Amino acid sequence: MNFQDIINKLNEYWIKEGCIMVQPYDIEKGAGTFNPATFFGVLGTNKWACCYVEPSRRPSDARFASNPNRLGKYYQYQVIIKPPPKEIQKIYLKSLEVIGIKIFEHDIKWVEDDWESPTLGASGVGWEVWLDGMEITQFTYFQQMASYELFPITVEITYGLERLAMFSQKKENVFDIKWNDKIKYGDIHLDMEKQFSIYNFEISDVDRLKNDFEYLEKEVKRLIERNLYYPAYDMVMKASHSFNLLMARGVLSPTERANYVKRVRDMARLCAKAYLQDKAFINKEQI
Amino acid sequence: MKKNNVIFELTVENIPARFILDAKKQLYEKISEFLKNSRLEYGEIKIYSTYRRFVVFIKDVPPKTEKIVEKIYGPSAKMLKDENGNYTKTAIGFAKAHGVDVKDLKVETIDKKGEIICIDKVIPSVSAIKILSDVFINAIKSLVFPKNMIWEDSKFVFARPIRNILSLYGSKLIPIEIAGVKSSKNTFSSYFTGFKKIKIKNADEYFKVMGKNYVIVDDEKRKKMISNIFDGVESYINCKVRKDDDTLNENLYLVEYPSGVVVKYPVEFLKLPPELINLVMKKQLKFFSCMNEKGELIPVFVGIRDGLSKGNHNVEAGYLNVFKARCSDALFFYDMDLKTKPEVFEEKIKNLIFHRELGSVYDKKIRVKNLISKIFKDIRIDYEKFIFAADYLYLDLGSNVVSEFVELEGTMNYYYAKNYGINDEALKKAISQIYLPSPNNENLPDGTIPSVFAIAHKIDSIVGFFLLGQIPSGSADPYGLRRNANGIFRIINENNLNINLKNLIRYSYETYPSNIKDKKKIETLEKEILEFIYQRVESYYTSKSITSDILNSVKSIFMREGDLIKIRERIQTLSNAKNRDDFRNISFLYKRLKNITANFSDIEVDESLFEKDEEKNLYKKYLEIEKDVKKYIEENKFSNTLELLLGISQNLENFFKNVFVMVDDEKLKNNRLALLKKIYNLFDGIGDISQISY
Repeated sequence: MNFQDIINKLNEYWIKEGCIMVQPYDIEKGAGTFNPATFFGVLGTNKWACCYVEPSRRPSDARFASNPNRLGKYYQYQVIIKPPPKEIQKIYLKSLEVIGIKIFEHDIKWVEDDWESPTLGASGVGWEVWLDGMEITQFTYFQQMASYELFPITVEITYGLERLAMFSQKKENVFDIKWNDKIKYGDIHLDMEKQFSIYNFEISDVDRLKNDFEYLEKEVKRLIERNLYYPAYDMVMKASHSFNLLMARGVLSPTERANYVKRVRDMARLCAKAYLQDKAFINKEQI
Repeated sequence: MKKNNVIFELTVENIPARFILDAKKQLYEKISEFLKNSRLEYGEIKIYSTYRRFVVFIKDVPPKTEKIVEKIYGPSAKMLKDENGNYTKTAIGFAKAHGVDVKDLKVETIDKKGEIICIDKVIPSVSAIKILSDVFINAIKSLVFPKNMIWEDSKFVFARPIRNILSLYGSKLIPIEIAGVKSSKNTFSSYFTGFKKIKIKNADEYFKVMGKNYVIVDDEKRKKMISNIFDGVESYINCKVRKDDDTLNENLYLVEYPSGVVVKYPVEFLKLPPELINLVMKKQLKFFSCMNEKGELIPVFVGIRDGLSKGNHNVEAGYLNVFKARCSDALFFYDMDLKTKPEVFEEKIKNLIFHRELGSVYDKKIRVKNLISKIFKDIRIDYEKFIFAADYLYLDLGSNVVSEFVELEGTMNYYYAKNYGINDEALKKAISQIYLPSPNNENLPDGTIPSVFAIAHKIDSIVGFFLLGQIPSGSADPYGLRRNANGIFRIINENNLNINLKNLIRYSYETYPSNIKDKKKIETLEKEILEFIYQRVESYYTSKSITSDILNSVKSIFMREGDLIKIRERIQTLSNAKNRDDFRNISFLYKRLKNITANFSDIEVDESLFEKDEEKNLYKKYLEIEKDVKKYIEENKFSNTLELLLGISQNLENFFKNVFVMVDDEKLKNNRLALLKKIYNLFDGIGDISQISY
């Protein structure tokens, strides 16, 4: 199945399951979890279900387009449902069928893997789903976000779209994936991947990135004081990306690294706190 | 009463394999305990598990408990009523405590106690269904897992979400509700048959019906199926499957219906070290390598798939792909490392922190090399020519493979050795076996030179961290110092090495810079480390059924000498002798010697002061054996020493019987004490046998 058809089928399927289809958020981020639809969506007591494609940037994983499996930027397909339906495992497996994987003819294993994002202060309990030995999905019951214990619980299902397409199209190199019948993944992404690899590892302006981080951290505090938690959270995403770029340059010592992680986590916590307080306030007014 | 079997099945979303064995044990213990307390009879309890089911089967359970009347005795009958004929407070309280009306209190006469208030307490019959319902709910609630989660409204805490409960007494439903899930007579098949709903009419048919639906509930049966798969592969392609226990156990709890998938892979991957392939198999893929009759890997592995063999070619292709993806990565790193000069690795380990205060891995290497050189001088001077190999210790920590697979530290150095210009097998082992014995490989370093390297590596860590005051306590041992101490003990003991621990500690101490050395006096350090190593010695010999009295009796000698081989011989000698009558006798005599000569310092015996024959004879005997005792101890011949000492017991006994030591005449008294002290000192090389207990 073509890359774009996989996305279409998943959209169709999850919309039918009651998810609203939100869109990728227009700021660089390391994973679909950073999208405000997830970050804010999982906080609070409201019901929430959405799905979306999210371009995810991992500067350190870039390989100058020379590795058949690794990319500095790739696509995740993200599903968020709060609270999780009882038959969620079955519902998930059916989603594989709609993209052409007859599960009875494959080996599916759920291997323990408790997901964690130290920069977001998020953690959950769950698995990697292995399809004939290959990891295709991260399946997580979030227990914490921005260091807040969550209730009700949200389930997060994250598909690796390239992995699925490679599997479906029997390709050994990610750049050979058919985007549609005529255009390949590589046609769109190969040069981009090469140029970003050079930028990530060689060209990015380290001093500027460090300064940006300082500035963004201050902005978060300033914006939170005015209760502008959505713009503040944009700054958190940007700060997190600056940090990831610095990591790719290998200029941070382990201690510095831990310190940056903590600073991003503290910023995220401020945004979550403002959001929760604000929503509780609105609820009171409504009562 | 007609008895029935009971089935309870809890369906849970995929439980991590590593949680299961312990959970099964807990379930068995809790259910046994709760059933015992309930007085409900039963034949036996069986616990089974797959990755998504905990199953309890209880045989031959009657429909209810018997009603019984229990007599409860209380205070004396005098306390029943007061002088006015009213029930006393005591009586009312007693009745209330047991939930009966005060008018139901009776009086009975009991032997020796007289009249006593008593209650005929009726314990009513309770239905098995009621009891089982409580037992299962409480047992499930009591389970403890390494990690938990919540997922539903009641915030029930469990390893993974509970999704179904099947619970039957014979054909009757046992009503249960846990985490918002109500029990029913239904369960579900596995994913590869579409989570089909299955109705179970009777507890007896459960296993059969599940089997028909391709769910093998019995762990042992699944294990047998997997072992049959291996047998099939072995006879079909004439090889041996590497049945790693951890991987086997994990696979057992990743499938409900095991099917084998045999995969051939390109032979070029066999360029990789077998340890690396096996690690990728175990850690990342959970597959099983195959070997030829010589134990060398062949390019085939076996995977265990969950489900029927339908679409096996898909699975085979998928397995091969992930194997190739993982091993291509590894091969890429390995090739790169083989092309890397040792100087480049060395630069890398200069930047690798061993410990903030103890320096880099490079600093450790320099210390360890220094130390090895000193040990070599002690054991065989001509070993000095091998010392250059120590320059290549830890270099693999700078390699790509080890940064990707930490478990291969040491192992990879063996494969890089050729690059360093080391071709001698013993030296290749020396720079790669320093971590042995380890939890993953119980083998000891192979030969004297590798043993010395491994000991030096270990004592360096122990000395360093002890100097910093990082002494393991309780279960906390972040730097694995206990494992290191145990390793040193095992290597010296099992390879019979003539390495003295006191020297070892001192040599290692001297390799540290003065700011670290200044943190502790060498005497204190030595005492702490010997004490620490002796704890390992004790736990080893305790496991070999050596009693603690024997271990206590030789401890002070160990603390003085620091010699593990001599301690072993002494322990052997004493434990062989312990049950002999003559030894028992001399251990009592020794106790008297010890008490009477306590605080008495050594002085010379003056023969002219002897008054009695027993004194003369004892001294004569002493002179007769003294030299040989010393000689034997020198030669580690402790059983010969002991025989000599046993020979003195008659003279000693006679002395104690007929000579009074504590006479008023100071000179005479001191001379007698001096003689006894000499005898006492003879035992010094054997141990403090006064500690032997009978």
